[in-house]
Amino acid sequence: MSLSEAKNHLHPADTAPGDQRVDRLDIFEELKSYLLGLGLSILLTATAFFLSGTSLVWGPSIPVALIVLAIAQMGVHLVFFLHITTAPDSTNNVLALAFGVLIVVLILGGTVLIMATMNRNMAVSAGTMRMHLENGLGTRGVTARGVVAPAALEAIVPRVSGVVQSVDCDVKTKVKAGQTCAKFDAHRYEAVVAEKTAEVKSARALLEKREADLSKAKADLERREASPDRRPSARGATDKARAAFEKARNVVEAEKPKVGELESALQNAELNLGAANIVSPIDGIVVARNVRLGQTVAPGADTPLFVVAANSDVAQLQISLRASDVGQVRIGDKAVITVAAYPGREFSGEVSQILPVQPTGGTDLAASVIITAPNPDGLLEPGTPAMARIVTK
Amino acid sequence: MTYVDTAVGRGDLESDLAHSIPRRTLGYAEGDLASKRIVVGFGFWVFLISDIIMFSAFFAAYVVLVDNTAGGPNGRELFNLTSVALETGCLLTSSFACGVASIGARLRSNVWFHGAMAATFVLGAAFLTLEVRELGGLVAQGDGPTRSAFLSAFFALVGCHGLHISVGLLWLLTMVAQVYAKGYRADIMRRNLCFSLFWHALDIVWVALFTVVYLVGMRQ
Repeated sequence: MSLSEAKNHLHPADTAPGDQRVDRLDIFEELKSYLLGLGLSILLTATAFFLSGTSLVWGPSIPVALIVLAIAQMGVHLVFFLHITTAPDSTNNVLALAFGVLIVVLILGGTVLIMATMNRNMAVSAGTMRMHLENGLGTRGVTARGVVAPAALEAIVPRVSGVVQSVDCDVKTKVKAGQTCAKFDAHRYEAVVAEKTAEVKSARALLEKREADLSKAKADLERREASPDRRPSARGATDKARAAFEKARNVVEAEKPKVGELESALQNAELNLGAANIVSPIDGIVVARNVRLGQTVAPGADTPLFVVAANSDVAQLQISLRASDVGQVRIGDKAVITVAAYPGREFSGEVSQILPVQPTGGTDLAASVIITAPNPDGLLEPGTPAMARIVTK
Repeated sequence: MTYVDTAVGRGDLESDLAHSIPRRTLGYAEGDLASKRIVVGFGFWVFLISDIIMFSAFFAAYVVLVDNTAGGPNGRELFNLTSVALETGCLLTSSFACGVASIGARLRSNVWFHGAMAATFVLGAAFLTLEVRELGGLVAQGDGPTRSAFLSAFFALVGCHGLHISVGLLWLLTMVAQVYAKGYRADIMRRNLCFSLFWHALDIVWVALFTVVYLVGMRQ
């Protein structure tokens, strides 16, 4: 070592990083410093490795503890190996280090913060992502709300009047043909049926009696005509028997239509009794109910008691489009239908009709569009609000 | 900017600038200027800090991408803590040996200097061998840097540190050769100072690395 370098080495104001304070050139002190650093490092490293595999400590705290241990060990390295201290002769080195630490904290902290925020904001639900992927991000589309319209409607109207005694169907009830939806108080109709039944019975009994009389008169007449007795007294008896026969025949003839009348009256009464049971004429789903318990209804009212939508393999969705969107939609365009009841499920259909509507004041709705979609499982129930996205070309 | 700022040590001042600087300025500078060893050491210290800042970018990338395994294995399934503990031990004792070597150099003791440098080299090479074996094993089993974003970031970070270690080992060999050939000259001792700073700094980076990548990674 040259003299000047030795002198430099004893410069009082500064220390190079890695050098011990040069005014006490004690080899053993320096060795002690390295040994102390090694010992502390081994201790900290061993603790860190132990902590990483242990279940003795509350789990979430371990990464934090590991980071703290790492920072401590870096400090140990800086002080005991690199001899960066807080002594005044090391100020420049410490300042440079502090600046470096600032930059490191900015890079690491900033990156983690920004990327975590972006990750959170980029989160896209799987359904939306799939819709984008299937439709293609580049394709254009028109989205509108609508209601699933039934394929055919059947109104149930009352044929008799009465007080509603029970209501068994409500909106959304699935019904079979012949299923009872409501019942009227039927006592009145039962009484009529009983009365008519009794009348028919007595009329039939009477008719039978008259017919018996008739056959008796007929037999009497035949016996007298077949008699070989040609005396005037016998002839007179024969005429009498013929007159009796004809009278009996007239009575029977007169009685028969009466029975027929009574029978049809009974039939009518039975029909009325049956009409007190309100039944669905078709398989389908109830889409409207205008009757309530205790209500008195009479035939001829404007509103039907129930409206039943027939089951169908095809669902129709009616949506309203804004004026600005109508021009893009063509018949035959594909559409994706979603309903709230089946989240994530998509029904495909296509535009089957475009019905222009007169724009009314205040709205800019310009057209009704009918989208027809296959509906084999009946999942698109009539009356369900639905969302349709028409993929335009 | 003055002559004082550009001067990097008294030896240089005497040889190069003495004739062009008035005596008085020189006398003033002599009393206040840092020695060349201090300036070189500080300059290299600044370089090391910039190197650590570069490592911090790799760390940031790793922390962001650590969960993006693309259906592939995560750190917990890949890392072998025994191997990492061995690597850590090697590098720590290597760093200690490097410190002992700088004491040996100051003592002008060939036995201490060369002995400690040899230990530094052997331990550093052992670390590098373990690391190369680990990374090579990952590539061989199909979990190379192309497997997922996590593994890309892992290989970039660990590989960059390994590259620094490799360069450091080559530097160590040249230092030993220089001391052997030229003795404990002031300029060579300045280089040796820089080398030991470099080696210690790599150990500091490894502390951050084994903590953030391996120990925290094993807990996920």
